[in-house]
Amino acid sequence: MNNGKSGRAIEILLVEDNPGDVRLIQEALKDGKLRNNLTVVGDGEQALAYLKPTGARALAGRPDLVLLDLNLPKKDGRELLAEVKEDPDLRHIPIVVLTTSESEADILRSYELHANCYITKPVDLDQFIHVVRSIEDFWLSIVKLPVE
Amino acid sequence: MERFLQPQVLAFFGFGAVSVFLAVWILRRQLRGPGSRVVAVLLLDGSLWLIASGIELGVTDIGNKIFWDSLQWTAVAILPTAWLIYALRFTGLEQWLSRRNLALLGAVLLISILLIYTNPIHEWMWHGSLRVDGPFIKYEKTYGVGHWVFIAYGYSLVLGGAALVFLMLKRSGGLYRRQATVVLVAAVVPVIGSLLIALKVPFTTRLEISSLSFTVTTWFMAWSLLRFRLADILQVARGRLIESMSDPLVVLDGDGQVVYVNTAAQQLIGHTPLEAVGLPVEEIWAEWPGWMENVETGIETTREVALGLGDEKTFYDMRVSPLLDWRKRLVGMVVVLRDISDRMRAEEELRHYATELEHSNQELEQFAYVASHDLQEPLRMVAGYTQLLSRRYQGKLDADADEFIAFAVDGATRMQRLINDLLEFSRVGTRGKPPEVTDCEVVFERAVLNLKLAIEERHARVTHDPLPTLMADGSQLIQLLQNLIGNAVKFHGGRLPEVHIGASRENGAWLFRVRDNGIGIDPKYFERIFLIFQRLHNRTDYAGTGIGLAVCRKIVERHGGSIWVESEPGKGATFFFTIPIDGENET
Repeated sequence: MNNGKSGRAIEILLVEDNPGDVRLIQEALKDGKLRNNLTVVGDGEQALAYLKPTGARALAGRPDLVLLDLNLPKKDGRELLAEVKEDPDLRHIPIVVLTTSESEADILRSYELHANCYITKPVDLDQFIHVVRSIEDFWLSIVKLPVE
Repeated sequence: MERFLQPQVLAFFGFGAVSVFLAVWILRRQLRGPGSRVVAVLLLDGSLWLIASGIELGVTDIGNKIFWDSLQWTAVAILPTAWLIYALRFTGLEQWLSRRNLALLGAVLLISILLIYTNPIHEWMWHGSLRVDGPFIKYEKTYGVGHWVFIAYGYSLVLGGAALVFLMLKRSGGLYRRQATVVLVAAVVPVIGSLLIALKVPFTTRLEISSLSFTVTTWFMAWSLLRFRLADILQVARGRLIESMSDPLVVLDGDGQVVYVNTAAQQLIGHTPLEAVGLPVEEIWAEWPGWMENVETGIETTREVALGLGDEKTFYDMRVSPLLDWRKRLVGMVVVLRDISDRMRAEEELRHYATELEHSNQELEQFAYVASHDLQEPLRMVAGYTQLLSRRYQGKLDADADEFIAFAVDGATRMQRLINDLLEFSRVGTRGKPPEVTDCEVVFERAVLNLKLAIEERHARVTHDPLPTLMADGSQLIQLLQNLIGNAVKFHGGRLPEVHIGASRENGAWLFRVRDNGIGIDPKYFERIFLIFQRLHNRTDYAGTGIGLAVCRKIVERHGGSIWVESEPGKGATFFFTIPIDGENET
């Protein structure tokens, strides 16, 4: 099933430093409904470099969706979130905060920084897979996003 | 001679003799009460009066009559002066007995006596003549101006002295009050007696009755003197006690000038009484803690003061007792300082330990929270990938591998549950909210709603009495009721669960009861069930980690209450918990 656009694969940027989680998300998306390209970066700086490419890579890959962990090395998720949402070229990209933190302060802060939604990583594998698929389903299939 | 044997005369001699005896006794025993020698003088004066009266009645010729009569009147003249001196000494107003005043009193006395003895020449006092009266020949007088002046002077001294004693009586207490009463009665008896006589009774007998009542008076005084000796010892004992007590004591007058300092106070202040007495207390005592409010109102006040610096610092309980006169005016203050440093140090230490304990408790809670939270992260990996393993490779490896994977999955899942529960448990302390008005009816509804599935599954009946509104952390109260009702439904023992919740007000707290008809609990486990991760049942019979009641206890204790259970195996259980009602919690 496609979301009505051409058969192009959906671009997802995963900003996550834990390889275990990366793999789990990959596993969950592998059997997903949509054809997707998952790009993984390990910290906020890499993510920014990917989102704001310079020179030859300009406009190369602007993701349809960002999955963002909050606790990252170098530039952490909160800073990245703030910068992306301040950038007129990038702020329309939906950002799903996917983190282990259940802290109310983190939740509030993320929404204040215009995160599109906040999800706590479920501990249970089945639930985890269910959550990842739900994200994919909701943001890439149900929701209408602006066409560039 | 038979005239001397008349009962009237004998009475005079008898009373006189008793007075002489008492006087000698007082002087020989050297009683030390105020004015004891004056009392002896009064006694002797009274006996002189009586004996002279007796002899005067006995003799018949005019010359002897005049001699003994003059002696009587001399005794009468001495009386008011001696009484006044006694009254001044008794009331502690000895400073009035200055040499000048004594000379003045003596001069008046001398003039009186002189006038008595020279009366036959000038007859200013009286004009006397002999008259036969029964068995006696009496020396009868018509009184002159000098006599009335003399009498007026005498009464004014007697009444003045009595007034002083009366004032002292009004403001003194205890033993002194009783003695002062005795002295006052002693003073008033002859005054009233002689006044009555002066008004009603013929002149002739007036003197006789006056002298007798006066004598009784002096006996009273002698008796009070004896009592005073005891009071005197008490006085000495008090003085010794105050001087030697380890608490510094300072007496100030109404203007804040030092009147007295005991030995301990001298050491504290660093001044001898010689240097201190008479000076304002602020001047000689650099660390004088200052005046207190209310001192004027006469109310005793106490406060804590710290004297000295640094490690030398000493804490005192300072008590200021105002001394008021009989008009309620401030005339002085007694300041006593009690060293309470040991108590203060102990209290401080206790406070210190309490803070430390609270701190370490908080740290422990924080630790439990952080640890369980951080443990979750790697555990998620272990659990996730063992689950993934089992899902993907179940039946594709050998039987051993399947079993191993199954154990790994089970262990990881259980550990997840434990860590979750630990997190929940530590959140009671770290995530608690301040108390707010909470309607327990709403709490009950929410708890039951959260348990909807379990209740419907077991066909449980959950009922309740009217529940109060109180001050509490509402969401914790929901959790508390939910855990208790949940347990009641869970441990059903095959019966249809019936759970009833009640609440009543007892001893300043709300007492809640959660009663069920389940399997019950053996009394030997009553304590253990409230400990974290303590389970009584096999996992296959009843699932759970053993966190529920531990969380309940923590919630109840956080609200300042307590939780306990009453039960018998097989007969259901009733869980009780209390939520105290503070003054402000009244709703």
